[in-house]
Amino acid sequence: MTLRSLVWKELSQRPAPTITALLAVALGVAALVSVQSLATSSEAKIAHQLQQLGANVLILPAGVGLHDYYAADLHGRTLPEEYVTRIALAQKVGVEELAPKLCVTAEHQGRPIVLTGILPRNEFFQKSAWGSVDLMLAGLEEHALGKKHAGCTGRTCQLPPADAADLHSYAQTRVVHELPPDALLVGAEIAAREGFVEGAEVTLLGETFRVAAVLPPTGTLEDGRVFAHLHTVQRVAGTGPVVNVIEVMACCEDAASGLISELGQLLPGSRVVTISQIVATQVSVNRLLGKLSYALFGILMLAGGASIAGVMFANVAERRRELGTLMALGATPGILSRLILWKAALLGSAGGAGGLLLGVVAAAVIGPWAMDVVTRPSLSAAILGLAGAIGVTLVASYWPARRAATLDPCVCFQES
Amino acid sequence: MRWSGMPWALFAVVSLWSAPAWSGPAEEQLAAAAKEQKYTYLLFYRQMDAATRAMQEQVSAQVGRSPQQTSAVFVRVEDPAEASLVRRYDATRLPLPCVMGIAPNGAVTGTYPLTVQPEQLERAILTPRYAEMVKALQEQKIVLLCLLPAQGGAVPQGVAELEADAAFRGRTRRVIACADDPAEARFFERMHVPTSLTSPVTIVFAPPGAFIGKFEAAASGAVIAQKLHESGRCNCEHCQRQRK
Repeated sequence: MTLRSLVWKELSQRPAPTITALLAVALGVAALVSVQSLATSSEAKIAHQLQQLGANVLILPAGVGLHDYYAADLHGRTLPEEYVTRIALAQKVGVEELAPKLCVTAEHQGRPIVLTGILPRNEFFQKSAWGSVDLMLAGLEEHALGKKHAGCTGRTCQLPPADAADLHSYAQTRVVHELPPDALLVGAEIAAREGFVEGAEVTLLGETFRVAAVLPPTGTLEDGRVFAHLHTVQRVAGTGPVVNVIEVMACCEDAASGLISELGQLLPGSRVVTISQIVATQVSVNRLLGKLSYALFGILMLAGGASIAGVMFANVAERRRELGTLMALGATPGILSRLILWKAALLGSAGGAGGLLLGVVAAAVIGPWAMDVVTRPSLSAAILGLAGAIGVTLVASYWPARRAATLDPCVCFQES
Repeated sequence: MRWSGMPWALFAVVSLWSAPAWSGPAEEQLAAAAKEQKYTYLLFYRQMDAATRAMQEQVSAQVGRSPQQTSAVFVRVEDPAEASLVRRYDATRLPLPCVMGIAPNGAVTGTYPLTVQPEQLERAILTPRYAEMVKALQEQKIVLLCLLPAQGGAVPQGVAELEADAAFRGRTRRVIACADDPAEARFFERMHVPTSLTSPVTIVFAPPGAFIGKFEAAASGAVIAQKLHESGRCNCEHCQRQRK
């Protein structure tokens, strides 16, 4: 009989206590792998979004919290639309685009639809141009943009580019140059759900709109929305000239940071935040989650280790006669130690692998459902989990193994 | 007999369409001031509160100082008679009260919400060429301002070259001012160019009023174009592709 067959017999004959002991180890690994995978994937998604969003600033009514950039207008509180004009007239250095939004709920064939009012750029470009004289003077005085943002050439310009004229580009740029009052831009998801096609007429809040563009999917909440001219939405919803949020697209991160205090002074009763602040908050939440997963892993490993040690001590105590027989037949203390440790290593591997599988499945299910993230397993968490599981079971089995190695066969037979 | 009233009805409809019935009293005052080559301070307000009264006093004082050159029009944004003017300037969405300077050519030469200072009102009065330049910028044109010396001189070759450049064709407006024109002395001063200049200077602005650069007479069209590309405000197809 080889050592391997002895170990296998050990495991197969008494599975219940070992499986129970392994549960904590498996759960620890599962928690680590799932949470780390979710945190890593979420961070990657945030980084991707940040790259797409650029150096933006959000202006919200005071006291409004913000957890999701794409849901920044879903709080029901409003700011006066004149704030958009104030920003346009103030000619702040670094402000490239303004995108105010007003979100209202409408119904289509009894189903709720989120109708979002957006303002095309030509509306505020005109107002911005009313400050031409002051802007020219500032430019001549100190070459304002060049001095404050060396090397920054800005992202866009005040002239109407062809891609902003294409309404489909709204999905990526979040800016349209012109938007007829009856035009409707439809998110991919809502278009599929409601069967909206380009050119079709849709009645929302008693107003007939024409679907001007079905937007390509973006993987964000905006896929489930429809967009129309802000002033049309204000009129049909009877809200008056208000907005829920104003997005300011800055030319660079430097400008965005500088704008916070300037816009805060210009717009009393508002909260000004940069995208990087929102991202930093989300990243810190993710990191906290990651740290908690390590803590949880550690606690469950300790519990699992203690449980395994208990099972192993009990196992050695129960089987003193068998171990004594093995020693009488010539088995050395080293063989008995290896027998216990191999068993522990196999148990650790099985628990780790089971936990790993459970964690990957949990992350794959929870990610898209709860966090709108397609989750990829975290390799580092998987390696750490497996290594931790095996290490803990080996450490927990070390003393039982030493005890088995020091058994005296004569005493074992006398006791029995 | 049945059709006898038709010409009169048609006349009435046409009259209603063309007569200033569509324009309110303020719009008529604005048009009259433009005809007299006067600048108009258009003050939009919601109610006659302290801020409005303060602004009204400032505007009246300014008009009192230069009655030959300026006029003032006060518009309550909720007055139905002024709906057309309020709509034109989207005044219900302005921070009110708000005063706007309007040049005789229709260019908006300044917009000052909530409070206004005398020097701001003064600054809204421009010279004819300056007003022409502002109007062009508000029509989304890149302005090539050519400031010529008193003894005359040709428009720099670089300006013509830029105008001929396919990337900028139809998107520029040339504005010329001569140093010996006394009406434009203030324009030269604001552009930081002495009227004693000896060779032409070209200054380029992009909408809505971004300063692109000041160029000597020898600057070629390519040099000016390069500066425009670098500014990110030229929006030519090449730069659009680069941005993508």
